[in-house]
Amino acid sequence: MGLSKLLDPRFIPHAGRHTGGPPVIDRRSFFRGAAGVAGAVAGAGLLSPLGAQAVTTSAEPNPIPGGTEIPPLGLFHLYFPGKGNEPSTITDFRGFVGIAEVGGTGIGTDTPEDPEVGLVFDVDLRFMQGTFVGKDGKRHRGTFGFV
Amino acid sequence: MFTGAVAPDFSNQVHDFNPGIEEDGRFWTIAFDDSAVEVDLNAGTARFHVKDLEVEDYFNVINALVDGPSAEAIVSFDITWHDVIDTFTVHDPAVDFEARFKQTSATVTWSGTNENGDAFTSTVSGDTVFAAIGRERNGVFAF
Repeated sequence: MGLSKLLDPRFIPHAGRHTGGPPVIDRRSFFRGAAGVAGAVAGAGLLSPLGAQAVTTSAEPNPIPGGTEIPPLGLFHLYFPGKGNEPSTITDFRGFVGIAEVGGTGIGTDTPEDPEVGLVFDVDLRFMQGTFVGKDGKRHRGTFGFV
Repeated sequence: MFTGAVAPDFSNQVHDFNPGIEEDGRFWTIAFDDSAVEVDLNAGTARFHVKDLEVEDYFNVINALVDGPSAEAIVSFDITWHDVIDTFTVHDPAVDFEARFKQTSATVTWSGTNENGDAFTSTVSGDTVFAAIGRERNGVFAF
């Protein structure tokens, strides 16, 4: 979601409600049904378990050292979208970046049998594509996304 | 996802899809195939598109930030940057960061579903709060 909402002076931190409840299907069945092709490819060792276009990298990047303090939760290694703020969430990086906070509307359903409800969304999506120095101290090329 | 305008305490948030925070603090950031991103800075356009990405549904952002209970989830999205509004540079020695940006509009379509059977599909991409594409360098590459 668009994290900049956390800067709202009216923001009242709380753990919030958890509507998760017990899973109605097991994880393996869920991913087999929802992303069967991706799962099959991941099983071949070409992709990480993260999905169709998530990949393992030759080296892991480091997070940016600074970030945003969100009291009382602590420091998080990102800056919110905005003119003048750094969009990248990885450090020792040189390349293309994109950042967007966009709102909109959509349709939600709890189960296929339940009635549809109108919902509001607010997303913060980013990409970083270029050269980075990994945890191994060497230069690598890669593409990263903030989702 | 919210049941209405965002409440100050996020009490009306019902879904928060993200891949989680790494142990080293890397925030909601994971690797993708290069083909997920297309950039044409001269034209002021870019695209980031992902299908069937395995993430977590933390239900609300505060629960996500404290790594609370979550459900396995899958999201797909396609976001485009377009229509340049402004061009600007940033040079911030305090955070070892410099960049040249094109501020744009952005349009997104996306969907998500979790293991409980909850699903969401966007229908209208609304206002762009902020969007930009550019070239950045930070850390050892800055200055």
